[in-house]
Amino acid sequence: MKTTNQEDLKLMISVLEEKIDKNDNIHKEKELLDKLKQNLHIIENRKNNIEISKKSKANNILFMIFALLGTLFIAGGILFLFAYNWSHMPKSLKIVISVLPLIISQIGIYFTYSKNKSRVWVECFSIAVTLSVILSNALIAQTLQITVPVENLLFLSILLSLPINYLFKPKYNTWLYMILSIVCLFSGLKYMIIVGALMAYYFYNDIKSNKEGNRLFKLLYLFWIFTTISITLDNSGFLFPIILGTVIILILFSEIKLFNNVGVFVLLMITNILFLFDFFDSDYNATTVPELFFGALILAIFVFVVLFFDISKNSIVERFLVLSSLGIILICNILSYTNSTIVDSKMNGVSIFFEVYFVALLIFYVINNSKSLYESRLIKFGLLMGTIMFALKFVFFTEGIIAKAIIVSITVFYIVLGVKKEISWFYKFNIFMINMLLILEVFSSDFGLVAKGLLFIVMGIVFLITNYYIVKRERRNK
Amino acid sequence: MKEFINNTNKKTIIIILFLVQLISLSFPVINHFIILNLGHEYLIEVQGYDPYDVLRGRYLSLSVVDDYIQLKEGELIPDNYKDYSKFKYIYIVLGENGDMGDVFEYGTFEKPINRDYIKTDNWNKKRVSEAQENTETENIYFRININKYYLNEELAPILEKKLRELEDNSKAYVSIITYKGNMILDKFIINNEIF
Repeated sequence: MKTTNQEDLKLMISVLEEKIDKNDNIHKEKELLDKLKQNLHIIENRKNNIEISKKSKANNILFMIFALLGTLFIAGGILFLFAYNWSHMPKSLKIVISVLPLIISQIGIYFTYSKNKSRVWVECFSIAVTLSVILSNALIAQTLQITVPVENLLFLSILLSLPINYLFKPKYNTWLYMILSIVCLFSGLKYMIIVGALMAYYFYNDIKSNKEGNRLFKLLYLFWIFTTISITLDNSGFLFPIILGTVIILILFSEIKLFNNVGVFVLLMITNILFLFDFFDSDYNATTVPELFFGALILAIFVFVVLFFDISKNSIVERFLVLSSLGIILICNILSYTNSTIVDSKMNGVSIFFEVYFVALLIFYVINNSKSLYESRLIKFGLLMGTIMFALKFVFFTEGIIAKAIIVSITVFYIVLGVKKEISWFYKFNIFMINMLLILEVFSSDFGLVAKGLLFIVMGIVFLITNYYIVKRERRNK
Repeated sequence: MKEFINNTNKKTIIIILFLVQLISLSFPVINHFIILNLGHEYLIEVQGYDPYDVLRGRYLSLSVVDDYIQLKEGELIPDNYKDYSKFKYIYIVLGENGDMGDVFEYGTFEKPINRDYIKTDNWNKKRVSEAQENTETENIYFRININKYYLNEELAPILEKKLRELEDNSKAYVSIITYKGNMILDKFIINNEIF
């Protein structure tokens, strides 16, 4: 709409200028011309401002991602380093060292708040406090040979750090809690207390005023309801087909326009869940010729599309890219599927969670976004979830080097593309994804804890330094 | 709620929260050192292997060799014992056994006087064969917190190997210290070497 106004104005100005050139005595036309020029100037300025604010918003999110990753890596590194168990140290020294990360992160959040630092640092230090409480608990338990289960340690740590959420409303810390609470999922009550406490906060504070809080609340609510029902009733897995059937009926009876996107999403989820449930009983070898062939074919299509279409101007091509990456993940899923017996033994506990979580999300999206489903947000979300499941699966259950290589190369490709074309969600999502792959790979690999710890700390520092320099450069440019 | 959490209060709450976290972390530490200084040491025979904890690193997964004992003479367990609070906890009484390590002597539902014991709620009645049915004592299975021993990453696989290759006359022990029914794991001993 704004562009049309601008073009109309330009046309009117040129017509008027021509008239004035031919006849010098037309005063009214001259006044009108001045006004029109002023209007054009205002519109152009506004357009520029919007573009600048969009760009700076994207940059802010990038700073946030870099800072958060830096914090997570450093905390993880410290954890690895001390999980090594320095047995030659005296107990008392080990206990003092155990509490140090907590002291540092608490001082950090205190000064971040009192010096009124940016939101990025509040988010980082909130996560740092949560992780350092877990860290301190774990190290003390290790030092004193306390043999309580991991879920109890996590439960205690989450409760001890939860007030930070109430004080500063850190969005990413809430997500961290949700991820950590999964560990407590099968001890029922503890899990419900955590999610209930998170829900209570959003219910009393943010549900009316804050859009993000509102969305998180609904998500938590569904998460809670479905997991509770599932834990209570679904030992044999009969609830899952019922929920899935309901969702498919909902989709069928919704507007036909929506069907494509939701259909893709459902297809992706069902396939992933089927793989997780080990419905396919045959063994695939991860490094066979078909894998190479499929991988190469899809990469070729992918590169072709990116090279020959300008995606920043063409939303259809952008959607095609999203869909094709869904396809890649799906195929990698199939290809990386190697040993069914390993899946059997490891997936039993987690399968209920996956099943219920994704179905809950599906219903959540169908109910809440029925009008805006046609936008590619849902598919982006499906892509993210599919990738996370894939990443989890390929790290824990596969040895498929080529499947890993394909997914990493696509991720790097997306990051470069996202930065080049300034499509923020491309690099946001892919930076997250590549780090997740890396973290899981390091967790499951066999080299020493000290080496893992040092690697994580170095990566964390690199992220924080990079963030520092990006912020500095941004300020200089302004 | 929002009025309560104003700017000045927020700083105070951060400090209080930090103190609460420190206090809660100090509970197990204080408890540990009380038992360590006031308790008595026993050696219990164990067996085990070496897995991995994501948060706490490598450890030896241990199990007590003799995990069932006789109930104190004269004490009987009713069939519906889970309905009575009297039968919730059992006291495992410890006894010395010379060079062969120490032993769990018997279990009882009455708190023992002048004896060292471990209190646990994780126990079950042991099924007995028909031949044993007419005996006056009853047997129970029990579980106490001798299940993990955290170790240095390099040491853990070596000890696992030693545990697997134990000869008939050598045994593995953990040293536990008990005080008023609570216990802590102190040392792991194999082939007369302390870890």
